[in-house]
Amino acid sequence: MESPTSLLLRNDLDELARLETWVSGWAQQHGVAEQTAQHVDLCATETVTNIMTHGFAGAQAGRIELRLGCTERNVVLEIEDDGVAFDPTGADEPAAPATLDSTRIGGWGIRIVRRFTEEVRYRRSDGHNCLTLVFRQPPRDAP
Amino acid sequence: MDLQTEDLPNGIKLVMLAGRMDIAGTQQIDLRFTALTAASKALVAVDLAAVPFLASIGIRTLVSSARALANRGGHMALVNPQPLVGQTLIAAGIDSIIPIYANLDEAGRGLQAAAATG
Repeated sequence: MESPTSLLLRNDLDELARLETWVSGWAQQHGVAEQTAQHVDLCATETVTNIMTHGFAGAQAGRIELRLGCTERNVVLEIEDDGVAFDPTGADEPAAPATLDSTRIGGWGIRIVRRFTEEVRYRRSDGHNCLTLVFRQPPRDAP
Repeated sequence: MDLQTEDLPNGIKLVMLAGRMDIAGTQQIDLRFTALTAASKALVAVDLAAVPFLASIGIRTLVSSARALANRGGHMALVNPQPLVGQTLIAAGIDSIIPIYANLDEAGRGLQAAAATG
């Protein structure tokens, strides 16, 4: 069965299990390198977890839509949610931990997403957060 | 996720994790992992060879337990992460607070050296 290019999730952390299946199925269909698919899976997981944990201010309702597309050079993941406005591109990256004792627990998601993406764009539109994550595909082997 | 342990002859407790360390996986091992790393002055090597995916929630468990262990005079090392997991740990800066070793022998030497220096 063909993996759709979009996935709609309810505001429920149990929904994260569908994310991996969707990303890996879509990546296989489109010949996306395994390494790139892993990066998409990881960044999608971090972003959606953050939205579900902080984006709906305790409300049960809420929807998150993800869309995947690709070119020869890039994979593009769009994540749209109707939670509170949050621009992760403007968020300060937590300082690198210095010692185990002084390390702040949490805040790693932003560092991870910035490390594994080529570009992150954000816009607020019609009461929705629209986040675009761009991943670089490794060059295909010459024939 | 699966969690197995082994007490090695050199006094190190080996904790072998297997499976995706995402929210669902971490919830499955979190209590056992935390309990295992709560002993006083324990030296714990966490083998990540069978962990293909590590999300922030899993990092939280590793760091919280490493800190609790350190507060009791113990030490933790991470061993043999797969490439993506190793890159994730480095991206989060965890390698600067919990040492990462390529194999168990190196981890054992590192843990015993850390214990000797307090």
